[in-house]
Amino acid sequence: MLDFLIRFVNLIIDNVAIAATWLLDFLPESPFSYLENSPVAEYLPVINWFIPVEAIVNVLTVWITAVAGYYLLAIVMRWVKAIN
Amino acid sequence: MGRLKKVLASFLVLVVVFSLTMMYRPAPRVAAIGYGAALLKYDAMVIASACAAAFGISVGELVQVPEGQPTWLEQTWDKFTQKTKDFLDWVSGSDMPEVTIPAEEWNDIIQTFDEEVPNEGVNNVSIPDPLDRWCAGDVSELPPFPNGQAIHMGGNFVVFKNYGGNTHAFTTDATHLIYSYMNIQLKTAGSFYGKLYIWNGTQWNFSSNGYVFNVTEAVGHYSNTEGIRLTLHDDTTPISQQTIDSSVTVDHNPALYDDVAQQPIIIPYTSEVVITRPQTLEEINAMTPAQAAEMARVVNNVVEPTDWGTSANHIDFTPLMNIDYFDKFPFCLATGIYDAVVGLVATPAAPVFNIDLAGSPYLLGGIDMEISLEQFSTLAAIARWFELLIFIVALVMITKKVVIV
Repeated sequence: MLDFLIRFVNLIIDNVAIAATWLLDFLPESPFSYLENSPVAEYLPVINWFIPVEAIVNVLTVWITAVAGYYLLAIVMRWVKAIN
Repeated sequence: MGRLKKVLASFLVLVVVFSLTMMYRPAPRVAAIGYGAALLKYDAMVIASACAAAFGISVGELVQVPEGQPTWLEQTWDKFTQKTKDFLDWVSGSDMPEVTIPAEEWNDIIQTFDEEVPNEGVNNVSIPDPLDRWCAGDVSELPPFPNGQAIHMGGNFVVFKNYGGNTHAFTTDATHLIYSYMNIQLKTAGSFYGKLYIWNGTQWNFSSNGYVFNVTEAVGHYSNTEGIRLTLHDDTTPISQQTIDSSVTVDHNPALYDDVAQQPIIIPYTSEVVITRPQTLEEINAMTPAQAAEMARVVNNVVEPTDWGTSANHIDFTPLMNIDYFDKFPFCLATGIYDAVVGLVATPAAPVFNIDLAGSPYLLGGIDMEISLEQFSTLAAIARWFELLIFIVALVMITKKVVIV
């Protein structure tokens, strides 16, 4: 019985994936695929010598994740009436 | 109208955050959905979505193989058996004649290629090994070989993997049209060599580096790539790695297909007998569980547990995870921005300025001048540290506005 249920769920997942792919095909392609840094690529090491780009990117990534997590927590807290 | 704008804006933010967090780990993904919930004011609905996402993430990882289901070993064995069957089917299903004659008559069979294979300009990779035995370079060395070498039974069957996925891979030179001249497909060549060993080979050898392991390795590559490099060695003793290396380092056709890093699989001729080689699919099926378990143990480096495909004993979310969301607008917003920013990351290098004063009659007699800031690297590192500190302080200040406690 469990085996049947798992197969059934897998079937649903497969079909949802197919439907999602079909829907996504209606959306336009990414306009950013042509974005590249080649004009400045030659100077990037020098820019990184002056500015800690990698550290900034890493910090920013963690920060965005943390803020998003906060909003999730806030919504849960609001839902359970813990906050207004 | 105002509410519509808010909803659309919120949706856009949701998509950006969702797309961004999808790139990392499940928890932020759920957080992003919650964030969207807050923006859209549809708390209950999106909380349900978040819970569903969290549930979906955990189920695939937590559902275990139920009791009574095949163990990993049993599944591995099944996989191996299937691959072996496929391989035998594949070999026996080709157009090549089945080789059943004694070894001493092999040359006669080889000579059947005489009228079709040009003898000059094709067999261009004849490489004598240090022990003065010949090593055929690759499958472009289909018989007859340039110096009249013969293939003797009991010789080692060496498979060079990593040959690339090119259907023309069994020539070292794209300009050598042996495959088209003879209308030979890789399958046919593989069949030739496969039958040489499968139908006239020795017995199974269960040693860790033995026949079973290597054949199954070969099966894996046969089934996964269109290109594979085959070499026959006329030698009745195991071939050393050094010999193999010496045969592949001589490359008469650089920058061609065979320049992929070679890690040859050697199937040594051996008289070691543990069990008689199965001759038919029925015999493979008739093997005892102990034999099967041993073979499965030997091949466990070939059949990875993750290579099970869709199984009935766990919920598989990979179809959803494999959808290319980020190639489509607007899901690409976050990844586009992210990639653009990450693209700015590079290994820091001190700037060096070259000033060309050649031709100047006034400055230093017309020489080139190089000014390098390398000597200030320590100062630059300190400056970067303070810049990062300022950035973090600014981020903290922004956070107070973004996060309303």
